[in-house]
Amino acid sequence: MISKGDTMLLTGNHAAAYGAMLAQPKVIPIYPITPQTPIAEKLTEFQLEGLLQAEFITPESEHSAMAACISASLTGVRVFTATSSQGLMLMHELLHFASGSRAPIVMVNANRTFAAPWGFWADQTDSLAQRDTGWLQYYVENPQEALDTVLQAFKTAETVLLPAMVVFEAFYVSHALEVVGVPTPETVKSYLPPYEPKVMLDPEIGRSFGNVVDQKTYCQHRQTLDLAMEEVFDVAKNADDQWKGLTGRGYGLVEKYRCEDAENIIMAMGTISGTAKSAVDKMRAEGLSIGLLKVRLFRPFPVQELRGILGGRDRVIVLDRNFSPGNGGILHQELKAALYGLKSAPEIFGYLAGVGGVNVTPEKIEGLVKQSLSGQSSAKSIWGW
Amino acid sequence: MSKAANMLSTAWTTLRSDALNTGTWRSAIPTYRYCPSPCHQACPVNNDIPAWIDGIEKGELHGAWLKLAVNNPFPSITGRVCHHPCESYCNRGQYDEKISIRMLERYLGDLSLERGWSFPAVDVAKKERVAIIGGGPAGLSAAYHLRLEGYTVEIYEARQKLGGLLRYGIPAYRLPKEVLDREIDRLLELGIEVHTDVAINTPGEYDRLQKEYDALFISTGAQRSRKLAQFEDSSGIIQDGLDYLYKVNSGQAPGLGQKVLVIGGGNTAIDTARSAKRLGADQVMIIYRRTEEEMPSQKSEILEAGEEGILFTFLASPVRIEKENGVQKLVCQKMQLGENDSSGRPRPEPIKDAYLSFEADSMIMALGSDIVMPKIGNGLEIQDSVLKVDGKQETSIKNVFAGGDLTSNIRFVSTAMGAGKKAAQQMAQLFGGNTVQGSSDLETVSFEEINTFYFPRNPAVVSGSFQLVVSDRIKNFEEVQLGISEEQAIGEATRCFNCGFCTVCDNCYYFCPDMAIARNSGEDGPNYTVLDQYCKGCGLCVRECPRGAIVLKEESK
Amino acid sequence: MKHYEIAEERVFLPGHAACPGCAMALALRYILNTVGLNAVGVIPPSCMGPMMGANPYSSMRIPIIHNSFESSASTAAGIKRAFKARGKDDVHVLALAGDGGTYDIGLQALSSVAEHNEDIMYFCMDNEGYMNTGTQKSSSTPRHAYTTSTPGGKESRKKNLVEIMAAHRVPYIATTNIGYLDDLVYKIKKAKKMQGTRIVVLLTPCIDGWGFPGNDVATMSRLAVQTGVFPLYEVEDGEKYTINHGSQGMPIENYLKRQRRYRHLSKDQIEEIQKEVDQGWQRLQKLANL
Ligand SMILES: Cc1cc2nc3c(=O)[nH]c(=O)nc-3n(C[C@H](O)[C@H](O)[C@H](O)COP(=O)(O)OP(=O)(O)OC[C@H]3O[C@@H](n4cnc5c(N)ncnc54)[C@H](O)[C@@H]3O)c2cc1C
Ligand SMILES: Cc1ncc(C[n+]2csc(CCOP(=O)(O)OP(=O)(O)O)c2C)c(N)n1
Ligand code: SF4
Ligand code: SF4
Ligand code: SF4
Ligand SMILES: [Mg+2]
Repeated sequence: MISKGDTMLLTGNHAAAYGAMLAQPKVIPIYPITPQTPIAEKLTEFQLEGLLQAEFITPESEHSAMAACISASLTGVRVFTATSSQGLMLMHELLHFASGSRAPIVMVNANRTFAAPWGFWADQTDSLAQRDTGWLQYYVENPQEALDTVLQAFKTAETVLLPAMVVFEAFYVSHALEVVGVPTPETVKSYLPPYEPKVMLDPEIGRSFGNVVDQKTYCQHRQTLDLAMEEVFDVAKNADDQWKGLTGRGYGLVEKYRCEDAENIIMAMGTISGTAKSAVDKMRAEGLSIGLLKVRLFRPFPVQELRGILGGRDRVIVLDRNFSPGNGGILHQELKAALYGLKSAPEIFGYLAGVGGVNVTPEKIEGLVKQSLSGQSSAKSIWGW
Repeated sequence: MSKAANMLSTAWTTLRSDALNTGTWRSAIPTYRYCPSPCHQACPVNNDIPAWIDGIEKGELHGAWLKLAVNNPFPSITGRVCHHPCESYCNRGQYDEKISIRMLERYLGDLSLERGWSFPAVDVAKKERVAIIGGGPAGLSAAYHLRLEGYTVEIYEARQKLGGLLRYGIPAYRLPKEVLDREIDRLLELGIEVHTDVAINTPGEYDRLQKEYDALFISTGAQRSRKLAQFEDSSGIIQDGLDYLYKVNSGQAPGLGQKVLVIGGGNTAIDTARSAKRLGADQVMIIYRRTEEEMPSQKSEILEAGEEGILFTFLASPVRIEKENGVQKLVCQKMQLGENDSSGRPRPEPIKDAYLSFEADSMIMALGSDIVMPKIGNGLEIQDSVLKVDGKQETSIKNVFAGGDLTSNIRFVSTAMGAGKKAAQQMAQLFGGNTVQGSSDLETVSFEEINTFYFPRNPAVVSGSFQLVVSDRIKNFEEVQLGISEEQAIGEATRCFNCGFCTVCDNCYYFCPDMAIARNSGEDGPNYTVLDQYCKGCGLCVRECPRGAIVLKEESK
Repeated sequence: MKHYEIAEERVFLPGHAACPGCAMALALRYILNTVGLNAVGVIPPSCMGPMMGANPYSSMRIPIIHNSFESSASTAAGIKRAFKARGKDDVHVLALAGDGGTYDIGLQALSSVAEHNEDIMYFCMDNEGYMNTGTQKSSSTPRHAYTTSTPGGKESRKKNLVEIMAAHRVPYIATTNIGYLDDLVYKIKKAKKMQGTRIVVLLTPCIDGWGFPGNDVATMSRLAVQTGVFPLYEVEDGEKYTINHGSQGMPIENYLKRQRRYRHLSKDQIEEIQKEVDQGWQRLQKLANL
């Protein structure tokens, strides 16, 4: 039975805050930064209104916020936080610590350029630079998906015991108002069981965490982390399916738009996929066999699914709103590696589009597609604005 | 939960470190040891001083007295008159002031009399019998230790009462007769037969005793007063000090007139002078051929005599008596100190033609005494003018032991008692039962081994501050020195380092960073063991033992 | 005689890997055993790392998280809040960090936790340097002390952590050391009964890093007090100073000459240190209204 819940006009930030509130985390260590700040503000409002009973910690830095997230999570409670850009960078050391701790923290990151120079614009490099920290990463496209994904992230993270990031772009999502279906607390309750880990920091259990290990144990630890990541595909898929069953909204780990028979595929993460959809519609109307593949789960990277989808296509056009100096677009790199050795692999074109928050219009996307149709693919990503 | 989540995370602990063995790191291990304190080692009866002082500190007074009584049946006596060599060696002396051990001993002794405590009953009976000839401190001490071991003991004493010089030498103002009587009575309660007014003087009598008993202990003291050659035939004019004190102590003291001269520098001289003063002499003067420094009597007594108005003339040696118009005068030659003699003291040398003379109603010689050789067998030897015994107090005659003033020129109550104890110990060994606690030749705990942090500096309970006022004291033979209160006793006991004696203070237990010392509750109170598996041999426990009761011993692996 | 009577819960276990005779291990014993079993601890990288045991072993019967170097205070706050949320507010949460983890890299987090008056007990094991990484200086290393990063002796003075934290007006700050076990246990007991951020700074002389014999940690701890280098005192609500054990006027040389890290000192340098110590002691007495 599908429950509609309420419908509200919400920004991405507030939608994420609703998602978090509905998950009822017990501890929320949080530090403000534009453009994430409204999440924190909304959550404290919820607390005041009695919609949320959580311990808020407002420490002196994101570093301490993440430290408290980890320890609170290891003490056996659900933990939520949010950050962006500089804040995420400051947390870096502890992001590793969190995954090594197998602490299923859920964190929203509003993608923002980082200094220097200063800016506040949409750019995914901040979170993509954390791709090796052992966190799940969901890239979402709009406020509704933000709300839904926060809840799915909790369910998945707490099942596999890994922390999860829900990522959306500054302003394009964080501050964009859209109509959002907000599920009822009952719906969420039936979806998300309480978090009850078997091992945690507790005098009644008496086990300690993090003591020095030898090389072999360390290696084993990393292997179980790998195993957990491997399980994410099924677990996240189920979580998405269940959510769809309850609310009618599901997204898949990757979302295919008009891909069925498409010879050419545009691939992107976040808001560019939304824009790309209109570009696809237009080009389809013009007779081009094209579809869009939105990568929603970037970590773990759904390699098998991508190989399945992309095998036999002619061309993939990757649009990266991020930039790894010296090796270009990060999704571009990842895709090349993912498809390596695939017999019927498509040609891969990588474009850096929207880096630094530059607006990417449907026309721009069309132009880049056309460029790829006439040209040779290059290993290097190409600045496409 | 997923499979990976169900797998025990490798970063959580599952075991406890106490399963590990850090003992392998070690090259030395702390060892609890018995280490004698210097006071114990210096005490002629090997009193276990730190042990019973610990008892006082803990308020376990009866237990403390029992521990004291193991070696010393007469703490009320020695607590008053012992020359206390223990105190001279006290480690605390190197820190602030030595412990007033003797005062504490007296405190416990007096308490035991006040509370009527008895010695533990003798619960064994052994067949051997020992005769003791002479009931002074040496004989009584031997009797005590033998009796405690279950032997039959009989004492033969020439005088009417037991005690020797304790009774007939030392006056009541230093050792009240009641104290003496009560400590001796308690001793006799152990079941000792006493034959008073029986002097063993003839070879026949000794013969009989040798036949009747399994062993003899002869402790007849040194009864013969020394005389000066120049006064050999002045017996009408010059009295003998020991004889005078005997009379004083028997309540038959003769009048001495107003001016009394006492010649000598030992206990007898001082006690004679102080007794004469108490019995009405107006002017009492001690004449000594050396200086105050060399006087063999205890310093405190010289001090007290001075307080009581006794006059001293040093560096003077009597040469003759002159009589003029019915007035007697003692003429003395002036002396000066020369090289040290065999006693280690500077030799007094006459100054030519320098004389002093003093008027006197009475003159008393107190020059010490010599032994009377017991008439037993014919093999006994004399050495340094005393009866020769070996290191075990045994004479050259089998099963005949001797001790006290008879065999030693070091003449003190406790030394005599120590000799009695040693003889008892040897006899017990002879009879095959040796359990009398002996002394050891272990090295003593040095001051450097004491952790003084645990002992805040504070002054001793000074005995001198508890004396009667002088004007009262010279009127009678009341005891001069008063005892101390329980509070003072505990205060003083608290100052004691208890060198080398584990007081179960728990410090070693508390200071181990590796929890490698176990505190066990043993039969005679708590004790400790070092846990071999964990001890890393750091030595902190040793360092933090306030009293050197543990040492670090190298281990060879 | 001075006599200790200390009730201990058996939390800290033998078999740990501290150096023989380690003051920090002894301090840990009394901290853990006094706070007891209803507690969770936070230990950052420091000499306590080896002491807590190598996996899968733990030397502590309470759960400990071996957290990141700079975040002990915030980690502890996270745990405390989680317990609060779980309705187990009675669980004591302890942070146990070195001086590096406190005076230096962890000061920011500590300041924040103190400002919020988070309900934790924070113990700084002050051995005046980064000992775990091989004796580098920290801001707690005293002037002129040799460390491997100040081979000519440290040029700046030791930071006054207590005054910094007192300025936060936390309910309780105390200094103590294992030379005075009764004082140490008293302060832990007292802290345990209070609420809010409680900070205890323990001087833990380091055998290897300072250079003195392995059985000397208690003596060295006491000399630090008797010379006035490290007085034992309490500050309540940032205002009420109580001195428990302070300088006995013992010359600083008695303390310095027993340590290898001061071996190179000139007479002038000793005098300079003496002056600083005297000033510090006078200042403290003033604060305590003596
Ligand atoms: C005046 C004076 C004061 C002293 N003050 C002190 C002092 O303050 N502190 C100190 O430590 N020492 C003091 N001394 C020394 C101390 O008293 C003696 O060293 C000690 O008493 C020796 O003990 P003893 O048992 O060997 O001999 P004694 O005490 O002399 O006892 C010998 C006993 O044997 C008995 N006896 C003798 N011959 C026979 C016999 N043939 N048959 C049976 N019994 C016999 C005697 O009657 C006597 O009872 C003092 C001595 C004197 C004279
Ligand atoms: C962020 C970070 N920087 C550096 C280190 C390396 N490190 C580990 S322990 C330590 C020094 C610890 O010093 P202190 O806190 O005084 O503890 P001690 O070793 O003296 O007990 C350092 C620098 C680290 N673990 N983390
Ligand atoms: S301090 Fe006590 S045990 Fe040590 S020598 Fe003195 S009296 Fe004896
Ligand atoms: S420290 Fe105390 S308990 Fe331990 S051996 Fe020494 S006296 Fe005995
Ligand atoms: S303190 Fe502990 S580890 Fe050190 S020597 Fe003593 S028993 Fe052994
Ligand atoms: Mg340090």
